[in-house]
Amino acid sequence: MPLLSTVGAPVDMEDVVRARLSQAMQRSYVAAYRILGNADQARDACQEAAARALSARDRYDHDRPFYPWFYRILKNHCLDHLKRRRRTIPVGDGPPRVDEAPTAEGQAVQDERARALSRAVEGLPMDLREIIELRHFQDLSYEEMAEVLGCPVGTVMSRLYRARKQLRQALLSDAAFSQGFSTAPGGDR
Amino acid sequence: MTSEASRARAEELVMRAVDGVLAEDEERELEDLLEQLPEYRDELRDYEEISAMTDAMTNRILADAQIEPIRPPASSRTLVSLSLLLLLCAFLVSTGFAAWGFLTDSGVPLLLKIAAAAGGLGLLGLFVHVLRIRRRASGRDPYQKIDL
Repeated sequence: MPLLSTVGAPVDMEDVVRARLSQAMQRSYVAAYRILGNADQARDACQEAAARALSARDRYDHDRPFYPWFYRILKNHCLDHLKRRRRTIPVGDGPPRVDEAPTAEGQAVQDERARALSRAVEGLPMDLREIIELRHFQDLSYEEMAEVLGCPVGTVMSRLYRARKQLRQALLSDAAFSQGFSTAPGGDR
Repeated sequence: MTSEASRARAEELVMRAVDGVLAEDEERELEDLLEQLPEYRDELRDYEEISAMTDAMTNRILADAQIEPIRPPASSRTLVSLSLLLLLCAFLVSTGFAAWGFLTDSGVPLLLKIAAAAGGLGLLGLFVHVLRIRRRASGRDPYQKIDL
């Protein structure tokens, strides 16, 4: 549907959506990767969700933030994909790498901490897990998260606080992570 | 401010500090609250560490990502292909017609005809070469490269 730009010339909605898709590609890839746990499937999911977004472009309200709208399409697509494959949602701590073997002790510790963090995120209730994914892995603002979750910013902040608190508790009880944390495991928090 | 209200405010400011959206006056306010409620200092440090870890994990995911440009819609690809085909047909018919007239004109010296034919063959060779390169490239990349 052609819109009118500020100078009165019609704006092609396809161009608008394409431009915003290109800006959203990195965080979309991370979102898809975090749901599907596979780089190739994440790439395909982004492409297919982009094609769906382009064909549904008339339903996008260009006055509202783009990413929450696109994220819903992407997430639904990824969940459909998982349903088809009858798999549980894996949360990876990074894409498969050829140099998986750590080269130094420090790297091994980092990898172990990343795995511990992934386990802790995975163990959160779904609503808290989603807010951690949106904030920490997709770098959404409070307003964008409110748009995605369909709730006020205040609710987003309190839910994010609960999620972080629960995540911290889980990490404190995980010996692989709690070293170096501010309080020893099992301490009074 | 009551203790309950101070805690609620500290939690809010801790969240905003972790997310890097604290205003200057809020920074001072948070510092004051952390003096009164030191347990939030530990929380803040831990949340910042979690945040740094998730940033590193995200960067690692993106480091190996080969994010492809968006494929153009099928309708647009069909239109471009059809237009190119029509242009190619028009070019072949018009140049073929002109070349035939030129080669069969008895007024044109034979040497000039040979030179024109050699030039035409050279152009055709270059065209085929470009087509082959494009075909090889498209075999490696199944998607058309569209800069978005």
